[in-house]
Amino acid sequence: MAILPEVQSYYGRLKLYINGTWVDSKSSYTQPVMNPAKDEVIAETPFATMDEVNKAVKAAVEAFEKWKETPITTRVQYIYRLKQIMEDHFEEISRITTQNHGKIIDEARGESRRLIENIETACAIAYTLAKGEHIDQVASEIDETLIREPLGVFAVIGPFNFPALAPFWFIPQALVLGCTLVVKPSEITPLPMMWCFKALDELELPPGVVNLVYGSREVSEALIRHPDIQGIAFVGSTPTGKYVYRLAGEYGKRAIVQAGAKNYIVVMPDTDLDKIIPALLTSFFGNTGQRCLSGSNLVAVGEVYESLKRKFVEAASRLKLGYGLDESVEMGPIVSMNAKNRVINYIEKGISEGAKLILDGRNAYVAEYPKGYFIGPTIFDDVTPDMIIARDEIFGPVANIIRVDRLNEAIEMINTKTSYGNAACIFTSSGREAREFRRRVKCGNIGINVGIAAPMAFFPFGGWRESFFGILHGQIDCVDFFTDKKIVIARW
Amino acid sequence: MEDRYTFSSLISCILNLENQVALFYREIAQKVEIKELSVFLLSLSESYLRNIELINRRRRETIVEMAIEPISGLNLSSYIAKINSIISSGEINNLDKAIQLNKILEELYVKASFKIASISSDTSELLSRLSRRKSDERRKLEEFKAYSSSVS
Repeated sequence: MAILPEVQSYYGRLKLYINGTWVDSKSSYTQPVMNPAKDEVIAETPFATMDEVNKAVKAAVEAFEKWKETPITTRVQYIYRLKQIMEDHFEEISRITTQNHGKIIDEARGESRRLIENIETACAIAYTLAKGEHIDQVASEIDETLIREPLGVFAVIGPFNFPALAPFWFIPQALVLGCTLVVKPSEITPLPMMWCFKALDELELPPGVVNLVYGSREVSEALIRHPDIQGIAFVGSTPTGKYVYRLAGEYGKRAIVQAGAKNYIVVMPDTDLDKIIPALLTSFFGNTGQRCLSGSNLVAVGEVYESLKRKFVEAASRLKLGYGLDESVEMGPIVSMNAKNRVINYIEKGISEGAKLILDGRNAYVAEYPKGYFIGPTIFDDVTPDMIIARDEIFGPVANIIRVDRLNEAIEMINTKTSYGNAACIFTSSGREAREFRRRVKCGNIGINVGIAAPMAFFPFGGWRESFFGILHGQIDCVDFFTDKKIVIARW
Repeated sequence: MEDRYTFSSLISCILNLENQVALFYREIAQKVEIKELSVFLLSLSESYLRNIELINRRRRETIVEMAIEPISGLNLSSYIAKINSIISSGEINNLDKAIQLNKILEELYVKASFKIASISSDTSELLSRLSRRKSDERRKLEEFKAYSSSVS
């Protein structure tokens, strides 16, 4: 199978996008951007200076005054055009995502599709949810009206694992509702968002409506602390998410913080294993396990254990590793060498705490890409829920098999043995058990006979406990996040 | 080649087959003696090229993230081998080749449509529709064959 061509082999020193213009950063600090399949530098990211962060925010503040006055019918036309421009760039964005992140091209195309669905949803909310409410005659000769007003400038801080999609849980909704933005993608995977901004640039939005800066903690903190930033939408790990939420609170900012996960996948004895094994592969090893909805702990209930273990290991061991631009590849590399070492450390921890390693991906080798950050599918057996590997978010292709006798034990485990509450899935042919699972499990996204419980753009992206901080979630909830309500009580 | 595909590798393979057969129809359209058949083969060739755009667009618009659920049991390599063998055969006449090619793709698309239904339902539906269309085209080719047999 031929390798799909890369959009570019090298992208140079990335430029910031401030006030409708691509600008060279004056920063003296840059970080190399890698292709993880090849261990090859494909760009340099300059970390924005504080002056540049301030300029981006100032541009957004100035743009907001005009943008909020732009009729919604005009704003929505921009978003309609954005959808078409993104469709035109679909394949480029997908390939760049694969090139920079490492995920296979199908996963990258799936990500691009989800991104566009968020744009479509923003079009849909423009004329529906953005409307206010009104009741005549709440008292004698008094009417009451609720008006939604855009709040101002928001910062979007994106994660490395869905570098194109995650910021788009917020961008189109903010724009259609009349807010303006400063976006900071992950410094590890900035290329897909840079390319999305090329598309946004084609849109010819008024200058300053969207702005792009790069950087790490310092830039994020500057954005959160900035007095002109009204709120922060963050997607990333739980430790960082907690910090962001605390800092946002300290500075009186709104925050959506979508954080980490440790997801349980429960398989009941009445399940048709041959049917579910592909879904399990996707769940545990899709995106090379680097997603907040990935399966991590595989709970075998009762007598399904032996056959589930055998079939799962057999299927996982056959997954083809390689560069995701080869369409026949089924699993790509880990995003960075640091991340790879972190995953390997967890595998070694698992061995040292007594779990039985029945599929070892540590020595995965792809002949065509000997320097790639590959780890093969890894499966532990005899895992107990108190082990570190069963509690910590590993963020790699590592599955822990845990054996229980009854569904009740699995549910208790999910609710008490992890502090996370992002997702949990059950595979069963029993409606009664599925219902019990759905009702009792304390997680924000529940999958029933689905391995990845990913909400569509027109639903909020769930998350409970330490997987989420805030009240409003990403995607559709943004209507309330980016606006506030003004209540008018009038007598004439 | 192992009988196991990602969604994209399967679709890319189908696109290659459409292109290969489109080019073949265009080539034989210039060689057949019946003018109506030549016109029909040219229209088939164009229709196959349009199919490529359609399939590409559908897969782009409806792919979901369930990406590494492997597709197996299609025996795609045997279809490719059959198509290559028919096109290069010196023993079969061009009209029979066209009929056989359509029949093979018709069968492949029915199977592929079923296999990808949960990955991209619209692409699945499109392949199913293209299969029916190929069946209609095959019947038309068979009419040409019956006509040419009666004339000769």
